[in-house]
Amino acid sequence: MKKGRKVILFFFLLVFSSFTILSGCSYKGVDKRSFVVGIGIDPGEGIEKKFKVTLKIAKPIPSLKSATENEYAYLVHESDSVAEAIRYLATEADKVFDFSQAKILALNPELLSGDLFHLMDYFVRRGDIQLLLYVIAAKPSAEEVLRVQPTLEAAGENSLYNFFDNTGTESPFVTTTFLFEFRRDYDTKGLSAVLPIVKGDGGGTKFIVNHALVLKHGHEAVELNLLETKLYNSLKKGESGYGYQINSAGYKFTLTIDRIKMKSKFELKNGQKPRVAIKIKAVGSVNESNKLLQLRELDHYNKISEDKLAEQVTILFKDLQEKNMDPFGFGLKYRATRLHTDKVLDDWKAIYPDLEFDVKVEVKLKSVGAIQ
Amino acid sequence: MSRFVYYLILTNMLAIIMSPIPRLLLLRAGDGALSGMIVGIIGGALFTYVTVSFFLKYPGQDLIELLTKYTSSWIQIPVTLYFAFMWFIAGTITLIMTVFLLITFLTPVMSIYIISLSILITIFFGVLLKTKSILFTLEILCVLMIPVTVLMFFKMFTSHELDFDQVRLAVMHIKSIPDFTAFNASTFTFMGSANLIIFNKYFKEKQNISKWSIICITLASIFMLINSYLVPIGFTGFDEIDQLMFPWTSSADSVRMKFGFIERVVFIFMFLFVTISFISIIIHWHVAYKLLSSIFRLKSLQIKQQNFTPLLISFIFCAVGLWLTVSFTQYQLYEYSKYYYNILPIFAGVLFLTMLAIRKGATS
Repeated sequence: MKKGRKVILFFFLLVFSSFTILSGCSYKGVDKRSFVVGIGIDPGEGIEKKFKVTLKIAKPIPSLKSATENEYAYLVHESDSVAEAIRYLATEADKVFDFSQAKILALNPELLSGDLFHLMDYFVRRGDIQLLLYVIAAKPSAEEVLRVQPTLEAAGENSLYNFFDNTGTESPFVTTTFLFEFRRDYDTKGLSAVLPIVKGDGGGTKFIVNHALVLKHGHEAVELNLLETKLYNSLKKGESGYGYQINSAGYKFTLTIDRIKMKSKFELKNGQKPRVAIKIKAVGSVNESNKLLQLRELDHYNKISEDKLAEQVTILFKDLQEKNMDPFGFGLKYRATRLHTDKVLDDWKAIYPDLEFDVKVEVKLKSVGAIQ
Repeated sequence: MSRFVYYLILTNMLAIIMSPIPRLLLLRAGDGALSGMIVGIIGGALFTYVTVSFFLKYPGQDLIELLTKYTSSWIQIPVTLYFAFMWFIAGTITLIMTVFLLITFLTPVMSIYIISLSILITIFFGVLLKTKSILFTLEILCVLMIPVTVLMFFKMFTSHELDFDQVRLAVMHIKSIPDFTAFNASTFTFMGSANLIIFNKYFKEKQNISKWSIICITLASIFMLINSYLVPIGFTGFDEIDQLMFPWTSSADSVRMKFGFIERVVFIFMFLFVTISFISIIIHWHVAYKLLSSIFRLKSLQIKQQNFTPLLISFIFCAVGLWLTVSFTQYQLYEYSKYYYNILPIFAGVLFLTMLAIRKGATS
């Protein structure tokens, strides 16, 4: 063997022998991890215990065929901070927690007024918790919502996931808020964050998701009712679907909306009250009616629906304006449509309480369904 | 222009995502970042034009050859050393950033030594490849990666959750005075063409630089800068954007393919960009190594026909890289890389002066 080769060989041996001092990858197999599927946070009850943290952990099942229903383990601990509670809970479990699969962050509404910084910090600071988890406001408490075991839940499934983001059910009543969205909207000046309210019901066998909670830094949270939640989801998020009740002029019908879109434009003239012109365009059809409908009368039905929707929307806008909440982001829109100066934000704060809403709805019903 | 020049420029552009540039830009959001970027794009396009057209005049010759041929050694040695330093640091910044990203997002419990070593072992041999092999590796990676990257960018730009009002709000801050760091950081996007100082050896045919190629490169870099500046704003909001340590990766974490085989797009992105940063580190360190080995050739490492100086240089690179990765904090990384980007105008000046000197030597 040539000397040069020997040196190369020696070098390789040196490199490979140095591998023995490595401890191997610190990667743990699936059997050594317990997957956290949901995190719940309630106010603590003890003294100096700010938070009560609940972790919902999936119990491994040998195979989907042999499993009849889902089983979860719940770990609960109270502590002054979220991280501390989770660190403590790690001592109660024999496996390492894996947060990368967690998709639910349930928060008790009592925690949601005032400053959220301390509460939310842990979830954004930890890089391995996904920013795509669904944030929900849980009633009556986060722990109870996590403990709900729906009757329809199949093995290997987590039915709370199916509600959001049109994964399973599709409804204009369900608000979906991801963690990154919640953080963004909450921190933006001129925009308020909205969380879905999930109620555990039926003795822990059922979820109800059809209300929403509007949050803004330094303000009390405002709860949106059924109709308001639906309007918010339709107008802001473009959610469509069944369930637009029109009850006017002797008619009582339900619309299905295929597409809905909102545009807004500010009209600020000196000497006049600031106005925002809002144009809503909706395309859909009639789903249910209390009397026979004529095809040639579609324009008339459009008109009835337009008036009713405009009225509902204006009431919602005015209501939110009174409470100084802005989930539709008019403030952000205002800031985003003029060149930045230091005054823009202060201007907006002065404008918003006096802002007039000029709502124009254009409904285009394409059909009355399969019968007249 | 040879297609490899485009690959070199494109890799450098893609690799800015794995560098501190997005954060440096976003830190100055609302304070001259956008106008700085616009000036930077013009500056960068000029830089690309000057560098590429200079090297196209000397087909098949790299800077080392040109320096020895046309200038005296008192210019050659300091210039070579300075360039080697600049290229080594460029690769090191990408290395440290990649390790930090991996440790934050993928493997929070793994030791930093193991992560850096697993990267450095590949790079150790990558740096020692022949220049031509590196170009071929680059081509294979570009052909494999860029279609997926484009698909992923498409997913990102068409995501529902991208808030265009936030983006518009950021654009409304255009009227401020251009920021110096933002200017430099966006010029760095174009600096892939500077790699020609070594790689030009393999472009032997006489070629021309057309108006269209400069326009294409400029458009690509505008796209990349929008991608690294406006997209994070759209996903994480304008007002608190400076709070994020890895703004681009956090935004990629906000994109999902609901019914795709992997829901969290961030993992695909990590895979793509770790690969791209690998090749980017290899290119940068390879240039540094070639420059250094043109000056140093230790006699004591000569064993028969084989000289082991290259192994030594590569080993020193990896050792220094490992040491810096382990000892740097995130604050130091951002602070020092800011200094690095801010001395880029000096670098461009030195490069242009060297070119002038070579040209003078060649004509006289």
